[in-house]
Amino acid sequence: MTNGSCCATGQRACPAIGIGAVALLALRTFIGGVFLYAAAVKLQDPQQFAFAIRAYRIIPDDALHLVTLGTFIVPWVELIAGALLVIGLWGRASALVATGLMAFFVYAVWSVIARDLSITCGCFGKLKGPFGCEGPIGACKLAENLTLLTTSLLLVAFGPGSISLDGMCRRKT
Amino acid sequence: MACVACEWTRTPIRALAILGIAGLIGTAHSLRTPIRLELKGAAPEPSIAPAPTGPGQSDPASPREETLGVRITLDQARRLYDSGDADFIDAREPHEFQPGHIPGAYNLTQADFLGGKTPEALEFLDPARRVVIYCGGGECHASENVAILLQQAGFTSIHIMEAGFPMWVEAGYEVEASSADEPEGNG
Repeated sequence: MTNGSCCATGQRACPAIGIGAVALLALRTFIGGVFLYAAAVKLQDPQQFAFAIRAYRIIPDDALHLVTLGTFIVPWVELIAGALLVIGLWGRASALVATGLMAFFVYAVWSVIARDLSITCGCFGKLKGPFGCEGPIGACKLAENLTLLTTSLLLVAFGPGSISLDGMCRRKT
Repeated sequence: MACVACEWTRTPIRALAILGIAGLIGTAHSLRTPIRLELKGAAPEPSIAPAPTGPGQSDPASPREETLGVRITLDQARRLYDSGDADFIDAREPHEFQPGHIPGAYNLTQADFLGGKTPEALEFLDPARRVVIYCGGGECHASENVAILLQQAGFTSIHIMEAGFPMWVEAGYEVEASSADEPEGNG
C-alpha cells in the first residue's frame, strides 16, 4: 500500500504507508489520547489533583509550593505532549517528553507500593485508566504505567511514522 | 543520513521547548487559580464561652468550655460526641466506612467533591454547626483534605480527630456498620 498523492510524483524517498505506519499511528493516538484525557481531568479539578500529589508523600510537607506547581505543570505537559502525539507533530520529541513523564510516574507508583501506602492514583479522576485498575495503587497500576512507558519508548525509537504531520512535512521536503 | 542526525539533534531541543512552554503556561495557570493545601485557622481557636445552663452553673465536662483547635484529641472528640454538639464525618473510603464507623457519622470523601460537585451529604449538614472529621489515623491526609473542601463550602467550625478511627475502636467506644446502599450514615 502506498500514498498515492505522494508516489504519483515519482519521489524516490516516498514513504510507504504500511503496517508499521498504521501501528505507529495507533500507538500515537493511544498514548496521546490517554495523556489528553488525563490532562483534562486534572485541569478540570486542580484541587483534587493537588491532594493526589500530596498523598504520594514524595514532596515534603514544607515544600507545598512544589505541589502547587506540579498540580498545574504536569497536566499542561500532558496536554501539549498528548496533542502533539495525536497529530504527529514533533512526534519524537513529544514521545520523549511522554517517556520522561511516564518514567517518573512508574517511579512514583513503585515507591507507593514499596512504602505500602494505601492511596488511589489520582490519574483519571473517578474513571478507570486504560487497564481498568480499581482501588488503591498496586500491581495493576504499575503494569498500566509500564505499558504506557514502553509505548512512548517505541515512539521515541521509531518516530511518529509516515501518517503524521512530521511525515507529511518530510514528504514535502 | 544527515537528516537522521538532524532528527536526533532536534529531538531533545524540541522536548525541552515542550517542557518550557508547559512550564510557563502551568506557572501562569497556578497564579490565576487558587488551590489550598493547608487548613485555615490551624492555630488554636480562642476559648469558647460556656453555654449557660443556669444561674452560676456550668457543666465542667462540656467541650464548649475548652479551647478547641482544629486538631482535637480522642477525648475531646468523645466529649463533643456525647454532648451532641457536633456532626461526625468519616473521610475514609466507602469500603472502609461500611464495616464500621462512629455511630451517626456521615461518609464523605474528597472524591465526593470531584469536578466541583456538591456531595449529597452536605444537604444534611449545617455549616454553622461543629463538624468533627476523622480518617484512618496515622498520617492519613483524608481528614485534612475533606476539611479544606468543607471550608471552601462554607463550614466554619471544623475539627479533625487526629487519633483516627482505629484509636476510637481501641478505646472501646461504640461502632456501627452500614449496608452498601446506606453510605451516608444516619446522622
